[in-house]
Amino acid sequence: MLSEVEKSELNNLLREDDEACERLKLLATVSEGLSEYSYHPQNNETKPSLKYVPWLISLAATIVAVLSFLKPEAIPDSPEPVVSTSQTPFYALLVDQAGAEFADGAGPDQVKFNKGLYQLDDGVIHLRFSNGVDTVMRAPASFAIKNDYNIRLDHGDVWAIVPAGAEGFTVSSPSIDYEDRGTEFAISVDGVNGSSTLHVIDGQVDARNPKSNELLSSVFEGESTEFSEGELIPVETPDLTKFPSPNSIGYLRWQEQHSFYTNQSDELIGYFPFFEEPQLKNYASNPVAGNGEIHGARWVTGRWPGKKALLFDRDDDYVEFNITHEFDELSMSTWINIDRFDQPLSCIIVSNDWDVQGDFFWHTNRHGKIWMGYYGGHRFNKSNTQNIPSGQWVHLAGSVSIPQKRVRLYMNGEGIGYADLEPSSFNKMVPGMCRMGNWGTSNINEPIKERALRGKIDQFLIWQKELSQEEVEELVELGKPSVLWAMSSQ
Amino acid sequence: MSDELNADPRAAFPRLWAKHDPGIRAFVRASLPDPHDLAEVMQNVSVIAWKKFSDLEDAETGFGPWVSVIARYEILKFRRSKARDRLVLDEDVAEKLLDEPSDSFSMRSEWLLCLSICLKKLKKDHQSLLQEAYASDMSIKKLAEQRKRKPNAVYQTLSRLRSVLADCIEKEMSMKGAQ
Repeated sequence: MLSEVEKSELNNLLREDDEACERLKLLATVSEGLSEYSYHPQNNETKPSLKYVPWLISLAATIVAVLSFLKPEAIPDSPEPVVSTSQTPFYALLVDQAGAEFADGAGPDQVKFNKGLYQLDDGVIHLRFSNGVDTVMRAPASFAIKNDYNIRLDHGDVWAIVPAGAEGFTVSSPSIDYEDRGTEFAISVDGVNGSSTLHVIDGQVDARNPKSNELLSSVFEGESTEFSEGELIPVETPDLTKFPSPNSIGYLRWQEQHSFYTNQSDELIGYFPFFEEPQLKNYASNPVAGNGEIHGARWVTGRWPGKKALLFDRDDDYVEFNITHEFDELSMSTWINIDRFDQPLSCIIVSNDWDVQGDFFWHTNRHGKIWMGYYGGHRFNKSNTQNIPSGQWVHLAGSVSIPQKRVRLYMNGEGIGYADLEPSSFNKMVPGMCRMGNWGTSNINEPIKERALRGKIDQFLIWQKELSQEEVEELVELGKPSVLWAMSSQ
Repeated sequence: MSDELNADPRAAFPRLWAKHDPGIRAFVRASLPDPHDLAEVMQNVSVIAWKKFSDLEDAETGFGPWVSVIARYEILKFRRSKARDRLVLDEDVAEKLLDEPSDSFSMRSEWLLCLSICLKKLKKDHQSLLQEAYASDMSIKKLAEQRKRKPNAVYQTLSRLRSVLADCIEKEMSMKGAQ
């Protein structure tokens, strides 16, 4: 039910705003139409319901609808969903998301958020406003973006980080405005009764009367307040674990992917997610490749906080594992962040010694060009168009197909290298004992130092088939560090 | 007058009532959000309309606006009979909502026609959610359990879908106006 304050707000609004009255009539008609008719998708037509229906879908929900869409400032915003043109100006960008789903007509223009109403039905989103303000929201959430300094949160939880220069950024709730004074804060709004809770993590937030702009209270670091039934009262710190932080989204997304990889067909023979464990464990359902023995390489942060990677930055850092079978086709992919190209050749993975037919290699040269191949397969008509950048996460993939007589290489889903393959005396790949991040050789004329990788790896996959371009693109899409990463890498 | 009306002055009433019922309900609902209040007023309106139907001269074209006048009177009468704290809207606001131009009834009928067009534009999943929410006896809590969602999230989605439909109706109406 509506509180007295809300009733009063609604009446004032309808009294003063003719457009709000029209909107209410329209919403009442929609609700009545939905009550009176049941919709039958099978035959794509409407027909009268056979029984008395319930337009009591719930009084509360109706009220929420009325309040949500009849606020004075919402009226000019509400009729049009976000316009989808590349030239459309926007107030915020979708920096990252995990499982985000928006309601019909209530989502962004790809990654652009313009003025308008949005409803997040599932997942978590991270928006960055043009003034540098970061906000993170978890579903279910309903909100309206008015401009880059003002959002209205009708329901849900938001975590906001406001940088210097963006002071004044305001999160409006149904009954109170929270105006930032240079800070970091979390707000939770209950869409049913309109109450809201504020917790200031750092700095200061001013709570103001939305109509008179009267300062009701200044809330400081570590303090929490709740606005309910027209009263603003100090409360205990709310459960902050329900507020997703900007850094947690990618990690959430990655956690959701784990089952995708463990449920792949037998063609995936190596899935190394880089969980921080004594061994680099293979989680593939058909683990033809053995678990990796970690030598020297240290656990560090991967693509996101919480995600682990192995750092290879010393001459004796490597992971060793065995791939015993013989293969006609092999593909590998990895998320890698290379610090430097110190050596003429830096190994991503290579068979130890490189002394028998079928040994396998995947490495980069000093200029950041990658190559893949096997001992016995002559590569010719080679083309390699791009260098791997250092200092950033990139997705690399490659495949060797003896039946197709070709080697294909990819960076961030784009084909960057190709070679024809002319099998000679040995038409199988037998990687055997391999090292990741280095090369193991007993040949004293080939010092181990000369092939050491300088960088981080946080995922490694091996297939006993040739990956298609589409499959590689899907891998990139699944593991991209953020939405902005994807945009900047295209 | 049609043959039907010539034969029996009240014979056309059930048909006309069925035709205009959604529009009349929508009119009443705007100022009486409580479902029980709506049901009570609609019952009174139907009884009075039935009694006075023979007075209506041009029933085919005038039925809707005529019943709206009855409904307006019954709403105000109903409101006066209720304690003020039970009513969501103040007297003056309710009167403002009830004071409509004469063509409002036909506009509301147009809205309802547009609604069936707009329903078809929703995602299948959302169509079925509305159907389940409105056309079955299942409670929202049960519906939420079935869909593995929180009741609040379902309420929010339904609320948003109503708004999307309202936006769509406005667009449809403006397109009609432009044609």
